Amino acid sequence: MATLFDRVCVLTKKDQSTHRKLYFEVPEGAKKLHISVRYEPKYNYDEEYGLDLIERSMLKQAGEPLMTRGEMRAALPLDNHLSFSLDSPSGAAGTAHRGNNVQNFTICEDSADGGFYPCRIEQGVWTFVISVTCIITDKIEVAVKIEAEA
Amino acid sequence: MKYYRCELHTHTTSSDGKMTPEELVDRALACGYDAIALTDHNTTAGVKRAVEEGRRRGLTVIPGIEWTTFWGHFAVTGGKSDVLWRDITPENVGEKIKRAQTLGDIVTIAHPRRMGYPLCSGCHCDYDIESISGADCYEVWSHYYPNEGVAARQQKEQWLSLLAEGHRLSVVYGYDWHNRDDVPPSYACTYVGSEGKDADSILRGVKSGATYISIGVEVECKAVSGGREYAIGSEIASEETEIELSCFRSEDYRSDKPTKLTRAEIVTELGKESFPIAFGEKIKAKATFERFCVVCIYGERKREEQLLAITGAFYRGGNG
Ligand SMILES: [Zn+2]
Ligand SMILES: [Zn+2]
Repeated sequence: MATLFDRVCVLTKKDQSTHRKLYFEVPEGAKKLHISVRYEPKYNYDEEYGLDLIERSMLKQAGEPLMTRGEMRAALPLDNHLSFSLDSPSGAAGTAHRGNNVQNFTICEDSADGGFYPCRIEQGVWTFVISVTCIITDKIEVAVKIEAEA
Repeated sequence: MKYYRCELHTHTTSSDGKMTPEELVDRALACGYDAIALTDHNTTAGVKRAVEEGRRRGLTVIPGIEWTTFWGHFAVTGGKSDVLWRDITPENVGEKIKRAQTLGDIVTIAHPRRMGYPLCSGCHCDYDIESISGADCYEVWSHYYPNEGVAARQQKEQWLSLLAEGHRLSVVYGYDWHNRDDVPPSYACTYVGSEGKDADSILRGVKSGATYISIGVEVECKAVSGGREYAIGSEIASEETEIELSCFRSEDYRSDKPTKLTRAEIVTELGKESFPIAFGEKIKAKATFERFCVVCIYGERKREEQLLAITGAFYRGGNG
C-alpha cells in the first residue's frame, strides 16, 4: 500500500463556508483508494457560548424565537460539521456529507462507499476537498490519510 | 388525472440517512407512498440501488440530489442536471437553478425557514429570495410536526407573498426522511396530480403545479370558469371563477388523525375568505383574484384547530 497523502490540515473560524482543496498524485497502476479522515474537536462543550450563539443566530435568521430555552439546551453541545469531496482528473467523484468526525472510505472501479462514486483510479492529480459546513470551535485539526492499493 | 401520494425529499446511508436505499424503499411502501424521490446530500451514489429496488418492489423512485450548500438547500429531482453543488454561490444560484431546469430537473427550495447555523448549518435559506424565485417548488411544510411552529408559518407567508408577486411555485411537503420511523411523528404528504405513477409523469405533475400537501385529508379541488374545468396549477383566463372542493379522510394516515373539518379558506393576493366544510361534503365558492388563488383546509386535530391541507395555486393568465 502506498501512502499518497498524510497531513493535518488546520481550519479556523475564518474558514466557515469555504472549501479547502488538498491535492494528491495517483501513480500508474493504482486500483483502489483508501481514505481516512479524523477531525478534532467534534464538540464545543461551552454551554454559555452555545446558548448565546443559538439565540443570536435564531433571532438573526427568524426575527423571532424559533425554540424555547429548553429546546436550545437540548440541542447542546454544538458540533463542528465538515463534508468531504473527491475529484478525479476526469471530474467529481462524489461527496460524503455525514455527521461523524472519523470516517473511512474505499473507492475503486466497481464500488465506493459513503457517498462517493465507483470510478477508475486514474493516474494523475486528484483533489480531496474539505467543505466547512460549520465550525464552532476556534480551530479544527483534520488528519487526512490517502493510500493507494495496486 | 389521479393524485398520487409522494415523498420528494429523502436520505439514505449514502449521506447522513440511517436507512440503506433498500430499507428506504421498504419503509416507503409500508407507509403507503406511490412514489418517492431520493435526494441525498450532494451525492447520487444511492440512486441506482434505490431505483432498482423500487422497480423490483413496485415503488416509483425518482432520481435526485439535495444541493446542500452553505447558504441553503434545494431538493433537485429528475437526475438529469450536471450542476456541481460546490460551484453554487449566492451570486450564481439563479443561473444554476435555471441550468438544472433546462436539462430537465425540478428544483425545490427546501425548508427555507428552518434554523440554520450553528445547529443545522446551511438549512436556513440565506440566499436573496428574488434570486431563487425561479425554482419550481417551495417546501411550505417540512420534516416532523410540519404544520406547527414558527418555520411553517413563515414558509407559508413567504410562499404566498412570492405567489402574490407573480412567481409560480408548486406547493410541496418535504419529510426530509433520515430515520427509520415506523410511523413518522405527525407526518404529512405531498399529493401529485399526474397521468401515471411513473417518474416522468409524477415530475410533470409537480412541474404543472398540480400538487397539494396534507395531513390526513384527501382533497378534490378544481376551478370552474367559462364553462371549463381547471386542475390545481392551471392558468385561468376568465375573471369569473368558482372553486369546487370536497375533502375525505386519508385511509393511509396513521397518527394524530384529524377528527373533523372546520373550514376551507380561499386565499388570494386580495385577501382570504372562509367557508364551513365537513368530510365528504362538496362546497362551491366564488374566487376573485388577479394573480393566484389557493385553498387552505382547517380542521380539529390534537384538540385544536389546525391547518390540515394547502392546495397549489390556480393562476390568472393565458387566454382560456
Ligand atoms: Zn436540507
Ligand atoms: Zn434533506
